[in-house]
Amino acid sequence: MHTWRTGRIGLTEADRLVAGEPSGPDCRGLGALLNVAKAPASEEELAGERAAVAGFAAAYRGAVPTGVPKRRRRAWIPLSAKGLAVKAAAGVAVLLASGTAVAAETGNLPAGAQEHAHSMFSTLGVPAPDAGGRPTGAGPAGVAGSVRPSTPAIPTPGASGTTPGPKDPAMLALCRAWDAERKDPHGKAMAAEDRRALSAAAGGQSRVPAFCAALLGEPPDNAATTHPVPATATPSHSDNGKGNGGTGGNPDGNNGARPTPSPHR
Amino acid sequence: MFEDDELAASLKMAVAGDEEGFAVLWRSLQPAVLRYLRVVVGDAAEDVASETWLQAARDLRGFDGGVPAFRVWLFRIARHRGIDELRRRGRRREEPTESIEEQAAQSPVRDVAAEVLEEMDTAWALELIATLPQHQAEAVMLRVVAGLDVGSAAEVLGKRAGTVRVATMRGLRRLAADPRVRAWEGAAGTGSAAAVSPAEGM
Repeated sequence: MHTWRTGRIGLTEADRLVAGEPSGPDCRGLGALLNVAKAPASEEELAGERAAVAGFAAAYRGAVPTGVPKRRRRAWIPLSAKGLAVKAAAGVAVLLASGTAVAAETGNLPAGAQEHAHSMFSTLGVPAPDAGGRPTGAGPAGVAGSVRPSTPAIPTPGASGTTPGPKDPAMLALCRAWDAERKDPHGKAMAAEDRRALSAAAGGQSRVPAFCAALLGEPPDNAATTHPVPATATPSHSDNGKGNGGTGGNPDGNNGARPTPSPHR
Repeated sequence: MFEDDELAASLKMAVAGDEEGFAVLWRSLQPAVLRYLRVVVGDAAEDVASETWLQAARDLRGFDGGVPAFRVWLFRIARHRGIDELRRRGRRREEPTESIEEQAAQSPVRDVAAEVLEEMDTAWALELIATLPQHQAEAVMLRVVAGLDVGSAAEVLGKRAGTVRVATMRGLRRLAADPRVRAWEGAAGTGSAAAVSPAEGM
């Protein structure tokens, strides 16, 4: 057993080793190992400083809340619970998105519901309808009729936000076809490839309603006049800001074309 | 490394958005974050460390604690990002006990000693620590490399302090018994260490 005294490190000895205090003869190898493990940083380890600082500058600016109170610090949520919440909320968001779109279009969406759906979209990084990489500008803001409450209403450098641009006429046409078909199931059906194209652009069949609602929801002649609301869906917020969705709202992204959900009213 | 009160000023600056303040924090803590993540996620450590700092940068504005709290906060982010990465991969770390035994079986102590002389560096040490069961490896890294006290490490790991203390102890025991570490003992060249015997088994 003599040779296995090292296997008998007790709590006290462990604490000593952790503290880097000189270890007994039997722990010399371990002491050396620990010393090497915490050796001063190598150049390689510090090579990324410039990139890190640049990332900080961009991310920090991106996180600047314009009118949001300082209490943005989120509570620590156990990861497992978080994962569940994300999954559940993602499901709800998808459900709400389609419902929301229809309701938004018909104008009978309860105030707040839309915002809620959208805040979930953004918070969870669920791609907003136009986040699929096509140049249709006003998508998500149109869908939800509001910006996400804690999202700054300034362009977010480095985020996936897009500035509103002219609508893609092709997409608009597809959405019109889709809308016509939806309203009149017995009428002219969409061509299969159009349907696929639309689905791809929307980021999935289930997102088409929200996607098209965003495009069609605004009067066509109004397209270029809206506020420069950044399309959010910042992927980085995937586990960020949970618990502040739907509160402290600052919905300033509306142009009156849609119901204006405001938690304050 | 920096002392806490030196860092405190930088932390305050960084919270206010100052890049130099952030740079100081980064220089001070990145090595430990990177090494911790090396043990948790292996080759993805750099990427996950970057994600960690980005998230920290985004959320830093709301941070209102001191340096010790910041360390805990940062390592919690790192840990969560690391776990995300492991999930993404859907791959579990290899079973540590087997791996130690396998390696021990493959390499007689004396040969290992020769190898060790060439390979005594941080990366090697981290690789060895990574062969521990994950909770032990994390405890050892947070306590020894990140320099967190038991309470802070427990906060990061979401465990009780006593649990972390025991996990650290067990991890150290296991490392101390690893033939490669024991060979190092001999290689460290302190006379009596020649007594190291190639006995195996726990």
